Amino acid sequence: MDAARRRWLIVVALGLSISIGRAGIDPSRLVNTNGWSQVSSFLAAAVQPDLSSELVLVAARESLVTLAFALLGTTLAMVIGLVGGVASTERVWRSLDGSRSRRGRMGWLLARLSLIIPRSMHEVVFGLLLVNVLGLNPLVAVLAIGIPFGAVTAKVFAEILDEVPGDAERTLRAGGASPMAALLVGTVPSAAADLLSYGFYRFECGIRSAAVLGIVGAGGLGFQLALSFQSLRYEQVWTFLWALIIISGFADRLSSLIRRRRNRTAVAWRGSDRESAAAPADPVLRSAVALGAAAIPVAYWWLSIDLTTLWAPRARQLAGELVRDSIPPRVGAGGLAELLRDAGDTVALAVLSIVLAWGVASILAFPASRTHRHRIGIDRASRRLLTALTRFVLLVSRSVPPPVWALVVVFVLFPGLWPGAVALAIYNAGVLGRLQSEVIENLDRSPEDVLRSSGASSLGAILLATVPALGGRFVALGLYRWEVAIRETVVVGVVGAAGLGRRLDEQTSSFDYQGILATILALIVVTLAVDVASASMRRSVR
Amino acid sequence: MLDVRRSSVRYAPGTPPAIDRLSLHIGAGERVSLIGPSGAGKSTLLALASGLTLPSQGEVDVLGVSSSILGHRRHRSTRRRIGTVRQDYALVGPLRVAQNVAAGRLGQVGLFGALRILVRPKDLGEIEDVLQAVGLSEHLWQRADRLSGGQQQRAAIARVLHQAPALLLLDEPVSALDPARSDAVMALLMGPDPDRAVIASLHDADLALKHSTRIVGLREGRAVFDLRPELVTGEMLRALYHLDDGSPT
Amino acid sequence: MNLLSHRSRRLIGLVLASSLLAAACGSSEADSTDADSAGAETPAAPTALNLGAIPDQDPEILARNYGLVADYLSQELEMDVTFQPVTEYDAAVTQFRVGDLDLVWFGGLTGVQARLQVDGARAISQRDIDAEFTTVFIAGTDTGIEPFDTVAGLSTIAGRTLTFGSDSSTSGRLMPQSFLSQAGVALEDLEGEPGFSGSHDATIELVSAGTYEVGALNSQVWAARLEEGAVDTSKVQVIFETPTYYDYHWVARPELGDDLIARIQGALEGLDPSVPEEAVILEFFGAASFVETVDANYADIEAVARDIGKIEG
Repeated sequence: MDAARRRWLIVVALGLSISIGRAGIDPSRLVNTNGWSQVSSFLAAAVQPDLSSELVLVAARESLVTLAFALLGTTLAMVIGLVGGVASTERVWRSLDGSRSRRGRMGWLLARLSLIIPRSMHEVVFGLLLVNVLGLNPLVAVLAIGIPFGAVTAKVFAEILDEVPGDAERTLRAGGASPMAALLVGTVPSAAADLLSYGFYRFECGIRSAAVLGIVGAGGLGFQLALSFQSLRYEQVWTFLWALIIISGFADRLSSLIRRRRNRTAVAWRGSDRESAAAPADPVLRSAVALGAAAIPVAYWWLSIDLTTLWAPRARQLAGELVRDSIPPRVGAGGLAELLRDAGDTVALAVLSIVLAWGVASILAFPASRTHRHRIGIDRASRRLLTALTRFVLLVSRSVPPPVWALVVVFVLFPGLWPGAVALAIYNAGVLGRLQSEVIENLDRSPEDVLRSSGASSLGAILLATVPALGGRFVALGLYRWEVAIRETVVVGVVGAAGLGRRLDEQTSSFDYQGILATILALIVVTLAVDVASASMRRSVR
Repeated sequence: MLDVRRSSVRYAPGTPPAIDRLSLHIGAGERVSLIGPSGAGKSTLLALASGLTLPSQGEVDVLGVSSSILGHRRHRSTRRRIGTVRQDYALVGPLRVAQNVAAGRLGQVGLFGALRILVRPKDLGEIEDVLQAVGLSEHLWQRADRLSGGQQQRAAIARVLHQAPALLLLDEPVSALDPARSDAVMALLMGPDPDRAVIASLHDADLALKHSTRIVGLREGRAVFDLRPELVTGEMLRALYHLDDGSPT
Repeated sequence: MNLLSHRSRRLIGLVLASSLLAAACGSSEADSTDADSAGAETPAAPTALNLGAIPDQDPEILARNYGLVADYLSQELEMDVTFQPVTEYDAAVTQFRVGDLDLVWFGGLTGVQARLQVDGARAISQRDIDAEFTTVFIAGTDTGIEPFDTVAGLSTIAGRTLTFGSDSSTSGRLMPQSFLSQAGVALEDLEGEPGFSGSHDATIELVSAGTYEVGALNSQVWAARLEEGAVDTSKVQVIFETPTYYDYHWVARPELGDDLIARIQGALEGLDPSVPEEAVILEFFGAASFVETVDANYADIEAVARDIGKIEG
């Protein structure tokens, strides 16, 4: 174990103990056994959702709205990703002979910097700001998904572009083409398939985001879900949850299939381990892209989107007011100390939730992986059942939006950091478990087979051969998810002391825009710090 | 057309220079072949002439413009008149042959034209003609990365012919072609044209002697000889391709 | 099988082309919108009305009953009236602010917040009961907290866990916090952080479950739930009912104009308990009648809100 790794291990252990310290560990003050009846009535409603034709119709209609949000949001993200990716790739800013001029360096830095802020804000935060400018408008959800996703896509796409061999582009530039045109013709085509396959992963995430945005008022399944939840009508809640589970299950399958076919390694988490660009054409990707492209105008029409509202005088005026009202940012009554405490709680929340999620997911990923079921000593039918069951559990945990988990968990856990942490953990375990099971499926199993054929037990072979090979990848996935979790903390602010998310809720209800701006800035700083720490930790486990 | 003045290129400090205080002047209408053993500096000299590599010492003027400023936006009109065929062909794999050929004129069309190439290139008639000339017309809509090595090389040549540059820089342009095809393609590339200068690096000395008006023998980054083909003797060639101690390369 | 990249190139082309097209079309349409809203700036009374309400209770009930209110107003005013549900209190304020909602049933606090954000907006109507509104504090029966009847008695809540309703609720957050502070109990004196259940119904639910020991909510909702038998009185009881204050009221945007506002006030005041359809509405509001109100009635609420930071500046 090298020094960097040891140092990070100490940091993690320290961070975890501080987080647990903040959250408290006295069980009598954590678990509220009286609340089980509410939780069990919520869970019991799962098997008897309200299937009256009226409600099913509403669920179907709202599913289409959620899908349309996700599709248009993803499309916007792809356009932003393409433009932003091209603008922030290194090579477009290099001189003809490959050197970097000062101007080139500035341009590159500016392009990268302009993507950092949208990337570090959660969709809900965008939604919160946009609704002040656009009001009741389906564009709020589309933009709230499209802008942050676009910034993430731009980063991934720039990385994909940087890995494409540059000969063709250089030759075209030497023949007089502008850097942009040369990149567009010489390099982008080689990366297009990777971008599109990444787009389907984004679409899958977009559905989950659209659901959360719905809960905060943007419409679609999430909105209906929130209304039913506030009425405490769990049978109706489950009708909408099942609709969400079905559509996100469908999108997950499609995106997994495309990724598996494309690379046999997950591009999803930031495009690491990608193969070279000249992968063969894939009929599945091709049909999926054609279908998606055909659905774009349909979605546009279904949501009756009116782009002119974006530059209508009202939007301009409201945007002006919003800017005026929020400048300069103001920390507020509690002062910097309170802001720092909340920021610390936000980090603690993300740490606790990811450690929990990672632990659970790392176990569930094995029965959930398709290749694994041939390798344990139970009969074939039970193995299939076990796999199907685990996958289903993971699907449900990631399809139910974290705020809903939070509202359920708060019945049995006393308010504080834990309910939020557990809610985020359930959700992230669903996401992580799936990504980890993909890693297992793509793993080279020959070392394990060698051990087994030389007489090792199944478990022994897994422990000795497979676990070490998976360890690094699993940790990297967990760290990547930690970066996402820190952004997600804002959506579980509803359940009491949850750091900056709770603070944002309070300020939103006080229309304290200067305070909101200060909190958003704090969130950005915390997010960036976590990104940097996580990137550095991922390097050390690589 | 190309004016190299006492130029050196050193890729890394402490290593021997790839080009060593070389001077060379090439005018319009000339057909120059660069010959010499591997590592003599042929590819580097071509890279110098295209502006992709800058000299660490000395000056290079290409079409009247110093190569140090050739990369600037305002000299794109000059770069448009420089065409290159690289040893590795440098095609865009997922694009069709027709699109790759059309990309030869990317310097003349701007960003919108670039998008147009990605959708459907214009000048398809001209593109077909030039592909006909290199014997690839039946592969117009084939993906470039599905072509054989020789076909890719011809596609790269078609691209540069479509560009119709004033200065044509060819790095081993027929290395992947059979002898008969090589000869025909060389005739096409090196055919007389008073407005165009062609510089080709060739490992096949016979081909060079046959198609050029001038032969430059390079060795260790220096010009060993610079003569009309009829003045190049077998003795000179043997000396060029052999090491000083007499052992064959 | 070489179509992939061809198709994807076409897609990219399509997307770029269509966004250019959209931008081109958009700019010409923007001009016409400019003209439209320039007209709207000189307040010509709107032809349709968007009705809103803070989501203070079961959204199902709200949707059904405000549907009735919208129908009634539509008939009385002879114009289109639509009810637009929202999930959060502050969303109702924001949508009022941006002009998506014209006429909103606000709580005391949200009404003040809304008026402060829209120049010329005013409180126009309230129920007979809104001048004497109260909050009830409820507690789990197993907490051992005995009922009391003075504001000072609230000091026994120090050291307990407590949940409010929505962040922006007057009866579920603002006034209970104000009375707590009168009794010398700051939020820091509570056990842990105070909760925000989101609605009065959720407060009852969370206190019944024992998640929080004490809760504060709208006494009217509490009474209604008691009457429906929706409360398990063996688990939760009232420990205190606060002194009275002004609460709910209708707020109208200035664009509606004095004329229309007067007609709306007339329509609301004209709700007649002897007409069955109108009686349903009054019953939903738990009121005998609506009466006119003025901004000045909420000055106390505003002062309290500024005091605890729910209104800045």
